[in-house]
Amino acid sequence: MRQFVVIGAGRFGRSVATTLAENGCQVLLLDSDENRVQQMAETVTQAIQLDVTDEKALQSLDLGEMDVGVVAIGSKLEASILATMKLKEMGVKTVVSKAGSMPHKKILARVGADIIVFPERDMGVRTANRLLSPDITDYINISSGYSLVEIRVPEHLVGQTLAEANIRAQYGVDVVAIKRQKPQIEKDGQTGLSEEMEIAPSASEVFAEGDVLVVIGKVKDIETFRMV
Amino acid sequence: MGAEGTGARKERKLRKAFEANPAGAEACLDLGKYYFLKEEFARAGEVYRQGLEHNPDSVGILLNLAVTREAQGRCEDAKKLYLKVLEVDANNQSAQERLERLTSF
Repeated sequence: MRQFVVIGAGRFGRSVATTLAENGCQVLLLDSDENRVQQMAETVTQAIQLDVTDEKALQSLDLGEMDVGVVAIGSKLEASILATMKLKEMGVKTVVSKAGSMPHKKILARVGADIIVFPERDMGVRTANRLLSPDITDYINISSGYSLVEIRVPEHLVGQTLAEANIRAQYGVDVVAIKRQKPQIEKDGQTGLSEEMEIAPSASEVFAEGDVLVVIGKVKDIETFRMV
Repeated sequence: MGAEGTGARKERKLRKAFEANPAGAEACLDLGKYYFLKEEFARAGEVYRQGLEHNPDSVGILLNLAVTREAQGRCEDAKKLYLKVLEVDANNQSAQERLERLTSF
């Protein structure tokens, strides 16, 4: 089982810790605020009140065995940098640190953070892209000029097979998966939907109303496909 | 008789019950759910829409129509219907959860 240490129980840290714990991971959560620690005690494997700027206290924990350390401290620059450095020194394999600003991001990179997340900026980009293209349900920038997007199936393609739609030849983008809502009856007798994912759909796959296509390609080609 | 024959018979029976009592929410829900589970979402939606003409505040019909609209990818319509459910029944757990899911990234 993978082991994670999450430092900082603010909104971001709590969200990361809760999701990891819900997915069966061992999660150690550290925060200097006793109330926050108590709130999370039932959710994670262990929650400890600890000031991460207290190097001795941090050193006393055997964190070198952790697979991943997440430094979820955005506003307290000193604590964020120190925690990132200490986790690397202690031998944590991968350290993910949250940055609150561009200078903060640069410093975290210099002190050895393996991955730096910038939640507000990243969410801002995703939100703007969704607002620009309401039929796009999700958007990941893969590299400059290339994206992976989730896009509602264009109405004129409903009922056509992937082969008939001829998307790759016409638009230069690839449909790598189809997300589909399947009807079901829930435990309470109410109708509901369960999501199914058709990975690498075959040429004979027929597009249905409500399908969401996972499309990869150049941004400009995706835009052309979306506008059809 | 094959499965298709049984299905057609069931559909006829449900439709007959609905036509005999168009104001009855239960007959509407039974027929709508039948179409919904067969992935005939447009037909399910039409049945629920007719049901709402007689029972505009039926939480069951509103919820089922909302789920059907979701299945059709008509998420804005689904949101409006969940909000309508919450106008009628402010504590409806299903509507709250589904609305929250639809409005999240």
